[in-house]
Amino acid sequence: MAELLFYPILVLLLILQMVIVRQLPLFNGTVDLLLLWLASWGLQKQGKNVWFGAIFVILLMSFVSSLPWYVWTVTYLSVAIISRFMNRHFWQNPLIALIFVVFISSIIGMLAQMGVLIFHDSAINISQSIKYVIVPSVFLDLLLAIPVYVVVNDMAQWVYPIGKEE
Amino acid sequence: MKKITTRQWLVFTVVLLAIGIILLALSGYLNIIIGKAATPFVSVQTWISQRYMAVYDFFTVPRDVYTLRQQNTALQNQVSQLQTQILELQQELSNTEILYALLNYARTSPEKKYVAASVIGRDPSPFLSYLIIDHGSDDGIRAGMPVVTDQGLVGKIDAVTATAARIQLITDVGSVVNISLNQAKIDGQITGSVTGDLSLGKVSTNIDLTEGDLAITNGLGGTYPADIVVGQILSPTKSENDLFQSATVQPVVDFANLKAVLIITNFTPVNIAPLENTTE
Repeated sequence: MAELLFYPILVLLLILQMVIVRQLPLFNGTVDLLLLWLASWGLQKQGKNVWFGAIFVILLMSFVSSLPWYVWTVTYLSVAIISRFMNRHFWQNPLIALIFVVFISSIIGMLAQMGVLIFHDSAINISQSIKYVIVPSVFLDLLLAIPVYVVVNDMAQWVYPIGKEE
Repeated sequence: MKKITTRQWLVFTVVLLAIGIILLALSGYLNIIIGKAATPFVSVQTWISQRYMAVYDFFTVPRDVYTLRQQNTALQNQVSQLQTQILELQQELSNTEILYALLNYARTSPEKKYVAASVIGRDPSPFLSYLIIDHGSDDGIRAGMPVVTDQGLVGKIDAVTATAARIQLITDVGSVVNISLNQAKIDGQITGSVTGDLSLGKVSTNIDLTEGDLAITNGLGGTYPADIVVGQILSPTKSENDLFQSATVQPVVDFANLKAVLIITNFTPVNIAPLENTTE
């Protein structure tokens, strides 16, 4: 039940993403706070319910964004899958797992977005997209991954201590 | 004759001496002596006075510090409130200036009906250039309606909820705007990109594109009304072997700092998609 607290936070992060983060681009790339939050959540021992968080984020993003729902499904389900996989296999070194999860899932998300635009016949320049959107976005995601992880880790300990879980 | 006694002589001498000393003191001849004589007394008095003031302060100053601290806190609160008020007023002034500019623009073309809306967000995807505004179908806004500012064309309404709407900007990668060039007198299409740049493409090489030429909507395609400024030709690129030339277009609207927009509510966009499907 304590994990219910994460859902209003996801809504708050989406608002921050749309109002502030999108105003602070590096070239044309921006950080994806929801992806970072889900990745950090999935890497926690208490993060078994990250799937519900991912589905919630997919619904939110499908509602507010102009991109189709399956782009967000690919993006955020991949975050949940990779983060839980890494949590099971690399649980002793969460920071390396975090970097790996964020790097891979950011690239998957960006390629999914670019792919759907190409599929819908948008006049998209692939080299420009990689240079000005994908690379800066992945860089920003990696840059902010650890601070977000620290916050999520503290919060997970606070709302759902491991002792209680066991 | 009565004999003057010793006692009387003594009194007389003392009185005489006193009068003499007083006269000397009044005439200032004794200042040096008085000064030197008074110094020890002054020192003692100063010492006693300082100690007394120290003791007095010990009992009274803490009360004053407490009062001063209270006053300081109250003043600091007041300063904070005033600073907040200044910020709010500056924000209101900025909003008023924007709305005043939009109102002036609306007055120039009274045949159009406008709804003003504030920008409250952007699409979360960095590939897209979409805005979210705080007015929706409850305010008469429908999908496809053109959106402008006092500077020029912003885009069109892409999706609507009861209280909010999403605008596709002309800089979006999926946006196409039919325009006419003011000097060159030709029609063309301006497209957006993922970087937010506008470009004019597929212009015949026989046409001379000049920098600064104004691009204005021509109404073709039925998506936007005619005669709305889109941008200026920035850098035409032309090579001899190409069939067409292109140019970068500088938008007249500052999309990075867009805070309020006007939606033209009495313009009905024409959907030509069925016609396009038939020709295919």
